Amino acid sequence: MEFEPVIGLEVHVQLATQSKMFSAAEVSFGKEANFNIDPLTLGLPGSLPVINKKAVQFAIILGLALSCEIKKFNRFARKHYFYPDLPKGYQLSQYEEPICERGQLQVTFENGLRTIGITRIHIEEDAGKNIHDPRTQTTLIDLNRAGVPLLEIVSEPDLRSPTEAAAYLRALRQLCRYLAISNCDMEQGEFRCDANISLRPVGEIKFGTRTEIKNLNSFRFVERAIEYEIARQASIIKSGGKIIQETVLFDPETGTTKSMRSKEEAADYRYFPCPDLPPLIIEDVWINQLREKMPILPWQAKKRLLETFSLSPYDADLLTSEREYLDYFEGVVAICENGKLAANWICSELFGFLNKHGLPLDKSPITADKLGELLKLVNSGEISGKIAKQVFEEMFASGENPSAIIERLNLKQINDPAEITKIIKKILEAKNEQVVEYKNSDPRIQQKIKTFFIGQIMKETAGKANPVAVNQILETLLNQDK
Amino acid sequence: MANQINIIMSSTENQKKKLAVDQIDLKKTVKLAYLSLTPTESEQLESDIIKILNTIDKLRAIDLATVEPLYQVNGFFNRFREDQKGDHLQIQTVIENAPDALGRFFRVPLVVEKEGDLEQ
Amino acid sequence: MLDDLSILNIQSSLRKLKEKKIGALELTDFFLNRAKKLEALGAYITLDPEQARKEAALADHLIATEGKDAFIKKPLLGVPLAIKDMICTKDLKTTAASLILENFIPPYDATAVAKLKAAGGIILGKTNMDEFAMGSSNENSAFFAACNPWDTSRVPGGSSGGSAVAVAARLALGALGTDTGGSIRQPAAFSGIVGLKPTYGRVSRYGAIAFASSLDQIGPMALNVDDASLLLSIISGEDQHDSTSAAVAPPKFNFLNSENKEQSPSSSIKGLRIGVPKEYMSAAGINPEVEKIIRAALEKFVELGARLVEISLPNTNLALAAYYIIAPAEASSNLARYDGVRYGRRAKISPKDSLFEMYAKSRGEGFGREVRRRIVIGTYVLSSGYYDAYYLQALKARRLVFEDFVKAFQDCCDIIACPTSPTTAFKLNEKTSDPVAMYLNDIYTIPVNLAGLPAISIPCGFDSQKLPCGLQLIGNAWDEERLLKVAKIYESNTGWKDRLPPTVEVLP
Repeated sequence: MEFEPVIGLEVHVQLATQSKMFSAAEVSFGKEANFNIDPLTLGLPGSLPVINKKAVQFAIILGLALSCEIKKFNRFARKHYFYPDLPKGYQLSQYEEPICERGQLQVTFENGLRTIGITRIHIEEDAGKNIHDPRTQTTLIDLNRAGVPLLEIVSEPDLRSPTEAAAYLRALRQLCRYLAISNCDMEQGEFRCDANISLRPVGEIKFGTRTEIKNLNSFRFVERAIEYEIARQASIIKSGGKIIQETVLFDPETGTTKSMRSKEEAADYRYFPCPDLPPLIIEDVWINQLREKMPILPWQAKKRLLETFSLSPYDADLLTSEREYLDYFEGVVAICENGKLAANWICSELFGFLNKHGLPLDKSPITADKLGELLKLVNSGEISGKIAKQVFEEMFASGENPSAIIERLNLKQINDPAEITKIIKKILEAKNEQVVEYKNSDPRIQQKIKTFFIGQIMKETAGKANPVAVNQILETLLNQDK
Repeated sequence: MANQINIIMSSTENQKKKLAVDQIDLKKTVKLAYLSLTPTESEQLESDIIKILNTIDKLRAIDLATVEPLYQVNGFFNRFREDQKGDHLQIQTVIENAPDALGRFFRVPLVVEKEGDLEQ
Repeated sequence: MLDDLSILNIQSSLRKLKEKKIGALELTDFFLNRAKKLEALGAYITLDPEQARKEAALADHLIATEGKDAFIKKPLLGVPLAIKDMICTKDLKTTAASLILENFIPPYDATAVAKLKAAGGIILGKTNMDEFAMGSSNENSAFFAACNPWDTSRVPGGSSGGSAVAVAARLALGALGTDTGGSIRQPAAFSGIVGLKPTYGRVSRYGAIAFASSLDQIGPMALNVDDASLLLSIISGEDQHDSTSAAVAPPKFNFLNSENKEQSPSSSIKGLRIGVPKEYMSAAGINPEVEKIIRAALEKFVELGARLVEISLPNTNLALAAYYIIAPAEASSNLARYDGVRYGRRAKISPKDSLFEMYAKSRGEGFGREVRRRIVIGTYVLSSGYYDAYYLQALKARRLVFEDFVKAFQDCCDIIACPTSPTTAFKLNEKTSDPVAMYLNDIYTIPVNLAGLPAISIPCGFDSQKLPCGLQLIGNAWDEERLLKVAKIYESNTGWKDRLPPTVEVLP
């Protein structure tokens, strides 16, 4: 019997707000322990929560981008459990009444485009951090992160492989970054994933027993962990055993998953609507306002690049993989007015150089407008592609304008036919032997000699002669005596 | 009101009935509430809870199917704050209240999940 | 100046301060001295003489330099006040009368406290109470009981017992209490003073240690209606820190009338319809003497021009059960933060104890019996499988109680009058063995919290044991101005507030 994996993902996205979800304590990273604290963060007696409007806005924007139903009436509930990084003894979350439901995300997988269902999105607050020290048998607690706004995005169990899972996560991360609701820096824990995995016979509709892998914070880990878990479950089933519903942790060192605890006795969180927080009523007016101000979405950007500029799918994907790249591309095209040219140069030359020097795009010495200028000169024929590469290198090193470099190094392309003719004639005169040979050779040898002449001409002009003109005029001059 | 009080009067006679407590699964609830009790305290709690449950149990029998629950009396909604940083507390003052601390950190015994521990 | 205690109250003191007949430091010292000497009454858990005297000296300086103008910006300048230990005061120990917070020092002021301080009020100290506001006699304090100044073998009421004693025994000129099921009104009634629970949302709850979030309110306790009104107007107002506080302007009161002038009786409440709930007056358990006194008080209203209307609050019988589901449920949640991790008491544990055992021991040791009871009930009614049958059911019952009041105010009456408590002050230890018997003290006050309405308890007589009896007036939501006006008219036409508790004497 053949089994297929059934995978659903729960993603926690940390929102890029200035202040926390329910209080005005700062949201920032790299601060010393217990810096971003106020009475609510510490769960002090008498402290009260107040909802951060921006976080709600971000939730609605994401919901719209994922084609969700924005729930008009939704509420926060208290989820109770005892843990040192949970200062109030409960987490404020949305349980029965999440802000968004029933959405979808289109993802490009290896075998094509497919729609992955989004079950729900809800708003909640993050917990603090525990630092365990087995040496001293103590745990240290830092509450900087406690109360930071999170969106939990739950997918339908529509994914069927580890690579699909990674592709979905990439697409979701890209979207969140496009919407500027989060930086989604996985190393900082801004984009975390729990995976639910079960196996079932191919063709079966009912779900098998699932296990949950918690807290995966890199795409590689996600793939490896899911792969391992699928194999683990498969071997249990094959040997006639039963899958236990449980939560597991992935150990990157060994590449295996380890049971955290049995989920048979589910925790009783005693959810009830938080009496300190009046409910949210999301009016259509607000939703429409936000809808109008939505930034461009990745798939919209990709479509534009494919249709307007006829870029290759590969280039379109690369240039829309980050909103930053798209903006850069658009910046270059705005000046040089040649999408294909811009795409080529950005994808190979620019990215190549940046990678070599280990620089991110926002630290590029060549800004979009400067590259645009360079490519405009190439497009108009003022410089050749080859020269352009030279200028490019110089621009990268010095950050100068292309025109300044061309001026300084005297790199302007020679386009004047009269001047080119003069130069070619000079070469032909100097290399009269080869001219004679040319006239007496067959086309194949002629081509070789021509190439030789072009080389000489380029050497003579330091590569500045317009290659097309050179070719044309050389052809004419060589054949005129026949 | 009168009914209420009469019922309570008669329930004291039913104190010996342990039924209510079995139904409540007192041990599980006490554990969920993270209250460690001495045997005497446990016993006292048990008898107190029976009395209280008998008072509130009467409500369960009443048919309120068509009534909407009242969560908040003032009917507020959409109470927001703008996304702005506010005043912080300084950890130095706050940590003085802490039973145990190390530098800027609160400190507790190592978190190790044991068999009997309730999961988060 | 300070030898006639019967006329010493906030209004009269402010007058004396303005006229420079007495200094702020003198006044503060007077009360600090009394508080110390009458320690046995158990009113205060913590006194803060150093800070109080500092503030009083500053007040004196301000009065010296700005004269009467100083009182315009600071209407409570130099007035010594007591704060229930359920309300956070910055840098001043706040315990909720619990071992679990026995050494807790808040790094911030509750909004209500900040407002009193900004108005020039002097905080003398923190008053005794039932632990986490759970109780009706102050006997659940983890530290010591408080006793009633009218008869020290009796309870002062609870949970704001200490605040009631402080005011009644003249150990402060006014106090703040908190009221979740009657905890301001009932001790006010037992101790012969005025206690007001505002409309839910009138006063910010920020800094009030949470017991039951949808029921709690901070309110004033004072010697007369004018004083209570002044305190209320200062502590009211929307607070950005409390999402349940209302954007309603603080109520305004006319304080220019001298306290000794009688209001013209008939013009002010002529035609006022006073609703008398028939379910309340016929309840089994109401003390016959109390019933008699209340009826006499109602007759007085008629004499003053009002009209009594019998009303029905048919769902009254559901209120007690609903309250004893909702309040413990919310309390069990609000008290989950007391785990000994970041503040509060942490139990001593052995090396083999886990963190979770530390939690359970800290909480088991730190919480008293009543608190543990309520946490367990609360945990139970919220737990999986029981939520619908108990908590949700209680919220439905709450709606019915709420709607009873809405209908009554809509159709039948302007104000509701009834006893504050079915009895006068009972003896210490009389009801401690039966929790439910204790809960019955609050049958008249609980429905008001469920409905979120404003209510005031004012003295309306004394029983044969010379114990004070309280009349409760309940207003419609946000109708504090009328409520207090009606209370004032009754007060002006009777002399109950002028009687002094026999145990209280002028000290040298």
